[in-house]
Amino acid sequence: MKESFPFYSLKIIGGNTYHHHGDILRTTAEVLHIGESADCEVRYGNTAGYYATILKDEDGEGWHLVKRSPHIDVTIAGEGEFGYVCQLKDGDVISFGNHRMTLQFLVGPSKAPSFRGTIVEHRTPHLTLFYSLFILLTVIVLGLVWWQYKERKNAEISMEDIREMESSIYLIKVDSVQWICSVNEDDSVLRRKTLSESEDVIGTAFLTDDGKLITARHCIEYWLGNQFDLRIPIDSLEEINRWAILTENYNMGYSAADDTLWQIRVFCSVFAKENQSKPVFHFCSTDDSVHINKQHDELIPLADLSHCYYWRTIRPYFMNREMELGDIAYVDVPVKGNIPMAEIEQLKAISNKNSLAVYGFPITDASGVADKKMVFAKAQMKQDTIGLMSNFMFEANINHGYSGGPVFAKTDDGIVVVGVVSRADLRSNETFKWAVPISEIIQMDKERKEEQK
Amino acid sequence: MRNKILTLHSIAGYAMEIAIWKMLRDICKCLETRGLGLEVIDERCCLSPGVIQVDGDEFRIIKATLPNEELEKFLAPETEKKSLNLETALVWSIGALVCYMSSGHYVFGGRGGEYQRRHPAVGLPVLRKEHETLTNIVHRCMQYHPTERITLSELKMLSDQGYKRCLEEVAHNTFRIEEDVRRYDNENMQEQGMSSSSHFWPEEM
Repeated sequence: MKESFPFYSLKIIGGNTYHHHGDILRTTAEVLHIGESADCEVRYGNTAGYYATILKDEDGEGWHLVKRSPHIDVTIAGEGEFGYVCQLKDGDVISFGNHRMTLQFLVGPSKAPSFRGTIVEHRTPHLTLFYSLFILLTVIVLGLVWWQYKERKNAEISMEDIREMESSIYLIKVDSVQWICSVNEDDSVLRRKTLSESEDVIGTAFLTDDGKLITARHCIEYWLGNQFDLRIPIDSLEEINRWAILTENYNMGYSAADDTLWQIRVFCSVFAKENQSKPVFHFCSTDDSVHINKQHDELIPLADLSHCYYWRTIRPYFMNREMELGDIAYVDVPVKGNIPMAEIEQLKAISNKNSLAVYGFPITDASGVADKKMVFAKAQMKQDTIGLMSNFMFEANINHGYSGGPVFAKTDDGIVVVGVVSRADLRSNETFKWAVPISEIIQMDKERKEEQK
Repeated sequence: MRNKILTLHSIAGYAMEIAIWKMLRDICKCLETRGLGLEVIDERCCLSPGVIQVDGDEFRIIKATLPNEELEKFLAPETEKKSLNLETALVWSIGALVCYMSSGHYVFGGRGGEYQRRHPAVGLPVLRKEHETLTNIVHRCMQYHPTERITLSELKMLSDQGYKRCLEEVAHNTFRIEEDVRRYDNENMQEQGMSSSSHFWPEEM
């Protein structure tokens, strides 16, 4: 049984003034003229005359092409020139004389068309290709954005994630400071002086799941980052600064008695969030239980016309970031918290794709008095990865009081502490802060245990 | 495969003058070669479009079973008479075929020679003004009185002449038209900013 196709199409190949390359004429007409006359559906010029006419077969089962001009050769690709009439079949490419534009005859489909007469579908392959590429690129970009969003969402820390660790985060406060001169051999105190006006020094500390109470060293030895004017005579300096300078000098031999040891002793109290009137822990900075790494400290000679003074600092400089690693201290306490420290491998895997969070007791009062409320702040690392040999910078809207607090990161194994909030340096500002990587604690602990053996 | 047989119906009304001359020439030649008693010719001495195959630029008389309605449109007015002259009746049929091929319409509104028999003084069909020579031939073929009609041999001679003249005209004019086409295409390409290299790009590009 023969199929009956109610319409056919002519695809324009090449194009001219009247037709674009890629256009498709669909027609149900029984007669379609091709030529130069105005009534030609397919036009090759603007004069007059017909090149050919496509007619429906007498039996209605197909179409044939009748040549109308003896001057224009009509050829079908692959079959050459024909005489006066030629039966058309699907896919025939018809050309007329020397015209560049050719027509491809396409039949079907056999279903009834939704139009009558002749319609033109403008199809420009260039635009089709362009639109396809545009849509493809849009899909890819949207996919990437969605993927990034999902990744970030997965890595983002929420307040709820850290809620159960809140009980292991403490407020640390300096109670008093003493300047002590003792004899090296028997550690007996020869002289003792207590700071008359102690500053309200506060910071944050946290208790790890292996019983380490960790804070920043400058939360205890708060003078380490101080700056002062060298032109001011040493006797006129603030008392704590003068003590610090003289302590270094005396211990380096600028003392009347060589067997004496000079120390600044700081007494600290650690408070829980729930009850900040009764300390949870007490410790003294010169106790053996307080572990501080002074290897990264810098002793700066301060030239004076009459004397040379030495100034110990962990103040971060542009040129020497390793020095900042010293801004960390921990105490072994007899209880365990619930904050896990990151393993070295976990630290290495942390990148700027991981969002961070910090927790602490910010000083929000203009007078410098802490409101003693624990605040959660989201943070974002500004480096690609965490370098174990240097501090890492992060962005967070935090201020004083967060020092010594934990920097959390979300890993595949859960929430871990990756650093300890340190100080700002000349590069950082209110939003950019430094943190000491938690690997420093791990390393100090490891070295200490090896020494004990 | 293009195996469908296309007859004169497929080009009726759209045929070029040269095709009509060729048809006349081929039919006359065929009748001359195979004789008037050609078996395919209807027993009532009629040639109709359905028995003339168009194969490329050749016309052939073929055997076909056609309905009476079609045959009657090409029957000479004297067909009913017993004393039938085969040649003159065929000539009348050929004249009607030329009319049909040129205009796409049947003579005398499709009523054939019967109408002419009833109205002997009826005017004969006139073809397009470009086909003036053909109109003269049609008139000579379709004369009511068989004796006044053109003979088959003369018709063959005239068709030979007409076909050759057309061929010469085509040869003369084709070169000029091809030049026009070339110039027109070049102008188009310049207008559209297309270079000749655009031929080389695949369609998808």
